[in-house]
Amino acid sequence: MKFSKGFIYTRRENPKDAKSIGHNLTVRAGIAHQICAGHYGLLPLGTLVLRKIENIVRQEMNNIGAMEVILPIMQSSSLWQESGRWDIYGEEMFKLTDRQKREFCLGPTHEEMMVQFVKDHAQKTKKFPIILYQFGTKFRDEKRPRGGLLRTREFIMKDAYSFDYNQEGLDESYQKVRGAYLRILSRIGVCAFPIPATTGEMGGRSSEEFLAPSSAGEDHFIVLENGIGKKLEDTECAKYASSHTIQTGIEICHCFKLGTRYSEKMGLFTNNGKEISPAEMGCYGIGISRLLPIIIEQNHDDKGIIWPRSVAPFETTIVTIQQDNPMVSETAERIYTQLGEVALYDDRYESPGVKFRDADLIGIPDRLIIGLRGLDKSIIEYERRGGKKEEIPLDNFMEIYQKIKEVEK
Amino acid sequence: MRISHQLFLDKFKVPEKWTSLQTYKLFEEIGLVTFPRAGFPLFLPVGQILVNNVNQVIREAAYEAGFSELYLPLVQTPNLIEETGRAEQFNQEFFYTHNNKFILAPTNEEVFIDLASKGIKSYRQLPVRVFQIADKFRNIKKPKGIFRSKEFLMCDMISIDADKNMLYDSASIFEKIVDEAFRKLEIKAVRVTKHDGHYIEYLVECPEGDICVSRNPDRYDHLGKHSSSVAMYFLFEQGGPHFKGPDGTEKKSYVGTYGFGIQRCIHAVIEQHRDERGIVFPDSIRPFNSSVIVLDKNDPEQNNLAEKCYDLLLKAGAKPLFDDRADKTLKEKLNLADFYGIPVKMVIGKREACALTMTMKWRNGKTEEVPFVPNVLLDILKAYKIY
Repeated sequence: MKFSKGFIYTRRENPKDAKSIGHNLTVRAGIAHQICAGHYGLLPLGTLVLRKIENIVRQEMNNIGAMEVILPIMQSSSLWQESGRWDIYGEEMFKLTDRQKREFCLGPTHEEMMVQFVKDHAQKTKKFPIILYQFGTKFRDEKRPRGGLLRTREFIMKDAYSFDYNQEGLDESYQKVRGAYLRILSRIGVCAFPIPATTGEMGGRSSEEFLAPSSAGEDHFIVLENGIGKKLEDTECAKYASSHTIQTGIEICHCFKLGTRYSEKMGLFTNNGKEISPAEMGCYGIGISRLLPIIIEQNHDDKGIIWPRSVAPFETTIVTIQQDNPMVSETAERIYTQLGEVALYDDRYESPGVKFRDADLIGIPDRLIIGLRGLDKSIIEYERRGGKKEEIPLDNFMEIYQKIKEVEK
Repeated sequence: MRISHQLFLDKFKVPEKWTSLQTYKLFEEIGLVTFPRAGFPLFLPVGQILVNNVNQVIREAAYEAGFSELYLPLVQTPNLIEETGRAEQFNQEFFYTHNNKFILAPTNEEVFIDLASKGIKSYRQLPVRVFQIADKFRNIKKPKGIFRSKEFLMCDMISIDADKNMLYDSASIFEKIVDEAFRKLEIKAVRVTKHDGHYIEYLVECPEGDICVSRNPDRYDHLGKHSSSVAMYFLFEQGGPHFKGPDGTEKKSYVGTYGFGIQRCIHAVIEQHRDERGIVFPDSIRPFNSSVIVLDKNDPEQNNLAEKCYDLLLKAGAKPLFDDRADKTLKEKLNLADFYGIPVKMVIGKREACALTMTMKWRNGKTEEVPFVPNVLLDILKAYKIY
């Protein structure tokens, strides 16, 4: 992608409302832009990261035998009345009416529709367990959206749902998804602690939330000697202050053992040949768009983002010094063509200072610097984000560059 | 994918009167899509694979042509689109949220142009060419199948250009994206020009008909009466944000809007690729490239060999479907593979399990028994471009 035409807009000044580094860098590095209060658009760099995260999540979910589906965003009120949650959700739900004056909501979550779907299509013929998942946009009309992509009214989520014959089955499915989530987080470079939590309006038997340490977090927790996280109520903080490091964290995943709360109300039954019983259900969410600022929170320095390679929007950025010099621009163009889609080519007629500052801010892992000084010596400078510089001879550049990449892998 | 773990496929039957079944009805019949409410499609696993694959074909073509991808919100404030006067064009098809604070995105041009006007300052930044693949919402009167739904997936693209020439360049780049995508999707469409070349539609025949057919019958000369638009573009010689030209003067940019109806593309692919046994999916989006059929799953020898074969194909990327159903006959299993256009089936029964071979049955009729030697097997599949 060429920087000049790629719809990439970086900013020097800090956004006024940004209190955390994740929010600040999301906006300044041109990852996301607020379209209206609580509704963000992902810009090209952010969308590339989103696609990478999606692919990792998809691989891990498919590996545990889960099936991907796509549910509609608009859901009819009758479903929610069946489960008794139409009124519980109240103000937080975006509601609307269609031509026939039927009420709908924009899905804040999909338990009801998933139960109905499994009931219609799998109940009679299908052997359980079933694990279904989807990527989709969810809506919650938060009173106070804040923190950039952290607390929005509209957000991208990967939600999964499991259905089993009995509690033992649910425990097994739960462990499978939980394991997949831990692998996903480690692959995308996010540290998080699963911590027992309350089930809230979701209901059900028990739940765990995964808290990622973050300066923007509003939850306090400690990590106990055995490595397990424990969430603290505000009143408990003083008690642990002397013995433990109290961290703030933000919820990025939440896994629920819902049990039969929904299947009983909505009539989803299983039959294992011996007995007929309501399906034991679990639900599991990962906040995908929320992960962007979290990855940034956990992977940055004072100059900008340091993207983990697994989710970096580009592998390499080509930075020219003196773009108006034909020798520089022709060499850069050639290298850019050879590298293809893994490269971001900063082809702007800006000063080296501006370009290097932007490269640091955007945080692409590798950087190739092409300038007259290097070209005189027939070399291109190669630098890892925040690391050492090396010189690569121009003559057989691609060969040597690829060797370096292989060694890194 | 293992059928025993699957929804819907496990009870699959070739629909009765398959050859005369209309395509839009087929989607529900064979478990690609279901509608929790009329107009709101829910894609089941195989349908979802098709959506992902079609998205990927279009996304690659767009990136290749130098477009960047965005993901804009699905709701917007009504003021932008009401200001441009286009609200009327949509004929009350907007979904408003209850407090009238938002509309669900019926289209995204206004939001994008507003966003672009904050970033575009100089002629050096032009053209800007972006796209997104996202849900759109229209409160239409008569939804039908996946080609006319109230919630639908669309790839919408936009270009902001410095002058007329650049705008026409953008349009011809979009035409190349369409050509490339339709070549891979093997969609035959007719390009129809309207409004002095400012409005172009790519139409496919669609026997189920489309509501707009009767409104503009002249548009469909090439196609006979029934057609549906799968891609389109509209060029505006106005309407874009201001920018500074090379001489420092303020200029107004041009805008081109382009789009693919993802669901309509899927519909068109299936409509155009049916034969008497099923759907012959194009290589680019075929959900499964190979099928492993075990005759008797309860015979450990057969099952072990089939598991090995499935594992081999999975790791090689040959997109295998494992027909491990215990309650179906060989014929039913072969029919399912043929229905989904799977080019090759590996059948494993008692004889094959004893001899450590497998019977390869190609959809085009050829049958051969080959030894289960991984490299040999993979070489054969590679020669036929199965992976």
